[in-house]
Amino acid sequence: MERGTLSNNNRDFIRQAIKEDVRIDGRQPYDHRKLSFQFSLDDSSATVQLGGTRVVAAVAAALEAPLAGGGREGSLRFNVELSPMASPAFEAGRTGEDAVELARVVERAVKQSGAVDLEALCVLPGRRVWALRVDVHVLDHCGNLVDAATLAALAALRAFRRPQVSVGQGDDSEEIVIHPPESREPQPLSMHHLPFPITFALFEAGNLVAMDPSLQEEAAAEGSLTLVLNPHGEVCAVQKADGVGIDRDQLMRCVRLAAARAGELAAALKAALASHEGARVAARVRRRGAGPEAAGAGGAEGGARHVVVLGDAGQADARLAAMLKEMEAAAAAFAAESPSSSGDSSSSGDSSGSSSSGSSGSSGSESDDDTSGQGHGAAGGKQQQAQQQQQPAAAPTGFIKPGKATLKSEDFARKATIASGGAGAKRPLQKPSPKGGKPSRPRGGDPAAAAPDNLAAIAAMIAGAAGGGGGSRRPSLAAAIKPKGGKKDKAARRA
Amino acid sequence: MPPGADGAEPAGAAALVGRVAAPGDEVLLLPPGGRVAIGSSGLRPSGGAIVATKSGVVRRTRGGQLWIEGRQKRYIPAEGDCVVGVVVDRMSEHFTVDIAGPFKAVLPMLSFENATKRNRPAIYEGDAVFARVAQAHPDMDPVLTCVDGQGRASNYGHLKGGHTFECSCAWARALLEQPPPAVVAALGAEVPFEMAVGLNGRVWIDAPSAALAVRAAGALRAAEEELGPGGDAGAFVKRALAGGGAGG
Repeated sequence: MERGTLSNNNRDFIRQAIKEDVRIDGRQPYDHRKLSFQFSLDDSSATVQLGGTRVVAAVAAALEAPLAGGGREGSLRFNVELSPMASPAFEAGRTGEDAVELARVVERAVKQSGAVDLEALCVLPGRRVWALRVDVHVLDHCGNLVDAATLAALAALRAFRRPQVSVGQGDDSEEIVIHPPESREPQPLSMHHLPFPITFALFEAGNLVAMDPSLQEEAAAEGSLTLVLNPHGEVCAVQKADGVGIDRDQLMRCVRLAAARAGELAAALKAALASHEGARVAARVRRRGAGPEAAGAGGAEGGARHVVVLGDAGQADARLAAMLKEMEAAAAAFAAESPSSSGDSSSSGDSSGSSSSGSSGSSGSESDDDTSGQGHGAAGGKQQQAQQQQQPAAAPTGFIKPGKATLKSEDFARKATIASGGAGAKRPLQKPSPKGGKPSRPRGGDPAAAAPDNLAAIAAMIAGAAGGGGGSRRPSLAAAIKPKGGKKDKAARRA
Repeated sequence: MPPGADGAEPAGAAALVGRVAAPGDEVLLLPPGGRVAIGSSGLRPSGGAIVATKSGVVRRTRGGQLWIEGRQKRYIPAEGDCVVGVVVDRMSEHFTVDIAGPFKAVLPMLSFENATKRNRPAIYEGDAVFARVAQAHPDMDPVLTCVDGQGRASNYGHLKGGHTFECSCAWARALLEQPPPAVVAALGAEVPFEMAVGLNGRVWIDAPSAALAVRAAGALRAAEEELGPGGDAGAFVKRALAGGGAGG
């Protein structure tokens, strides 16, 4: 049966037919099945149809820390899934050894032959590189999965476009800006050469070969051989696993056949990419024409949507201080005009949010969470009439939570108090507040203006922590914000 | 309601014979009296009518049975069908046969002509057999037999040599019509060949040489799609035998 068991009749028949130079689907021994490529318009996936076999591959790229050892190369990972819709022999969820072997053959052909220029994927040496991941899904198995999967991976890598990045020097830290496709055209991957796979099924103890075997031929064959060549005639990889052996002359004959076929495959891929390019450009024109507003609404810096701030803790402290000064200014503006508080608080929330995401590692966000948590607990004790509208403990970012439109300046101040919270409450450098319910006082601030006082307190606290000595930057910043467990607070409490 | 073609038929029957029916279409209004026999033919009684449950063309056999002919490839075993199967396992008392249906079928070892407990058939794992479905229950393994009603072999049994290919169940049924379709007759005029058609969509074919068998199989397979009822079967067959198939 074609999809189930191979009967003895069919096995013997296939072998007999090969001896007569005929294959069961009517091909000649060195003929291949019809090959077609199809690409998606979002530049991320390619589908290959080789006879009845159908495989789709998708490429995804992310900026990650490089693997150990140099850190000047991007990484490329392959994953192969054999879907149960492809064959009754495939089970869902289980990665059988077939899938693993297929992934390794694809990786050997594409990655280890040096086809993709991994050094071009380095953005910040040692810090950030592009990590590519290729997922290959087999949709229909009618024989010769190795060829189809490798061709799909190759076509997907050729069609893939990664976003442009620019590395900038902002203040004292390095920024990587990833530009969205609307603002800067994504770039193709740089490839050194294109390795094309050609698989042969071996019969008659290795004396007869059939190129591009179908499912039944694979089952009836005595062995198989996969050659990976590029159009320049260089052999990039050879996979000769289990099965009957093949002698030297026969192997060289296969290499010559494969070299001719690699040229044909290269031409086919090139033609398919050229016709896809036309469709891509047309789609892009439609997208651009549809909304320049949509493109320009991305915000500052010409639509850049993702900013990664890299730097060590000292630089993060400085940036945090700078951002807090902005918050202060925003809060002052807010106090001046309370009806528009929501806008200010949200913008402050955003800036503090980005600062907290920007501060080094996880300690920044951890300390924010702790601050919020501690503040909540402390304020609950301090403020009897605590009307907690938004629970700070739930907020992952920022000192200031986006408030309701009717937020009054006192509420705003209370929230700032909560956020800066226990730290302010226990801060011994502050004089005890004469007013009930306001645990923190500015150092030299105006007691009447409640909102900016707390922010100035935070800023002063941060500046004090930054100026303080002892230990590394990171713990001191955390200690300054955390109400307990900080060296400075303990020392101050003793004082 | 147009009058039925056959005087004994209820009036509504002829309306849909030869026409396409979709699931839920009424094929026949049940008469107030009389008997209607339907099997696993894609029809079932519903309310006052017989309603189609598959999509396809409504056909009527000579005996008056109505059935729906669809273009499905999946085979559901029905009693009386002849099928081509592959032996998957040889047990002590029976063979397990793969007939490309929902379940693997059971072929008792004694269901062969002249088989006794001491004289077992020489059929082993991987062999192709041509058998008849003796019992087919939707929820159980079907049971096959290689003898006809009188206990004679009558072309059932082990298929030696040759080559098996796949086609849709509807085309397999068409290949078994009497008289056979034009392509079979034309092929027979060119190539001496032997053919066993299984209603499970598997056809076994044997010819003097492997090349001829491959081309004949290609011609039979392609005729389903490419040769219409009015096409020139002779020319089609000559082309197929000379040119050979296109790959895949």
